[in-house]
Amino acid sequence: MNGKLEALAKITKYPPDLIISNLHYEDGSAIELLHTLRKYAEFSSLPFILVSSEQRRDHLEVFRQSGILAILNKPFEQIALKRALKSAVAFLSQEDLYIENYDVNTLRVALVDDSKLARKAVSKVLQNLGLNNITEFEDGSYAIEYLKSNEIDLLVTDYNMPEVNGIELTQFVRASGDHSHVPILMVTSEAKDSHLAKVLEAGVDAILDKPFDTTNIKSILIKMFQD
Amino acid sequence: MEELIQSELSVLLVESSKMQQNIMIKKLNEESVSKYRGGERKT
Repeated sequence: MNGKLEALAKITKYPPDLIISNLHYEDGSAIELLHTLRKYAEFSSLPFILVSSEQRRDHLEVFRQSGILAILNKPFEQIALKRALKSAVAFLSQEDLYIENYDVNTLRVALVDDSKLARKAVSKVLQNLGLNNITEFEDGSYAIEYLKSNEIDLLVTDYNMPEVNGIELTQFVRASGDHSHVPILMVTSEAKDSHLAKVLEAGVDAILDKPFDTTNIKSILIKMFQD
Repeated sequence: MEELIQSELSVLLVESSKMQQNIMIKKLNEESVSKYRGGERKT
C-alpha cells in the first residue's frame, strides 16, 4: 500500500505482526503513521522497521527515539533484512532469560529514558525476557531520587536526557555505596566516539545502539550478570 | 522454531513506489514471511 491513511485503515482492519515502511508517502510520512499508531494501546508496541535512503543521522533521530525496531538503509543487503526480521521475531517472542544463580522474574530494573516510546519498546523487550519488575523514570534526576531509598539489580538508561543525563546518572551510581555494583546498560542513539568513550569511562557495562537488535540483548544481559 | 515463527510473521508493507514495493516483496518472500497486501493475507 502506498499511503498513511490506507495503511491506518488496513492496520485497524487486519492488525499485522510487523510494519515495514518507507520514510515518505504521498499523504504524509512514516513518523506521522508511527505516532498515530502509538496513541492506541493495541498498536503501541507494534514492531516497526523503517526503510530509508536518508543517511543523515539527525534526520532519523526522531525514529530512534520512537522505539522502532530497525532502520534499513536503501539499498540494503538481504542480510540486513534478515537481521531486522530476526529482531522482530525476538521482539514478539516471550522466553525467560536464564542467568545462573538469578531469578530473572525478581530482578528489580530501573529504566530511564526521556522518550516514553523508547521506554515502552525497551520495557517490552525486557518483559519478553521475564524481567517484569521494571520501574520507569523520564529523567536521571528522578532515578537518583528513587535510588536514595530503593535498591535495584539492573539499570537501563538513555544517554541524552534534559536534567541529569546517562553519564551523570552512571557516575552517581558508581560513587554510591549501595548501588556501585549494579550492572548498567546504556541504550542510546549517541554516535560520537568521544561521548561514548566518556560513557564507558563513567562505568557503564554495555552500550546498545538505538534501535538495538533485540537478539543481542540476551547475551549482553547474561554477560553483565555473570561478570 | 524460529523459522516457523518467522514464516508466520504477518508484515504490512507501506511503500509509495510500486517498484520499491516489488523489490521489498521479493526480498520478504525470500525470507519466507507472510504479508498483508490490499487487505488479503498472502504467504
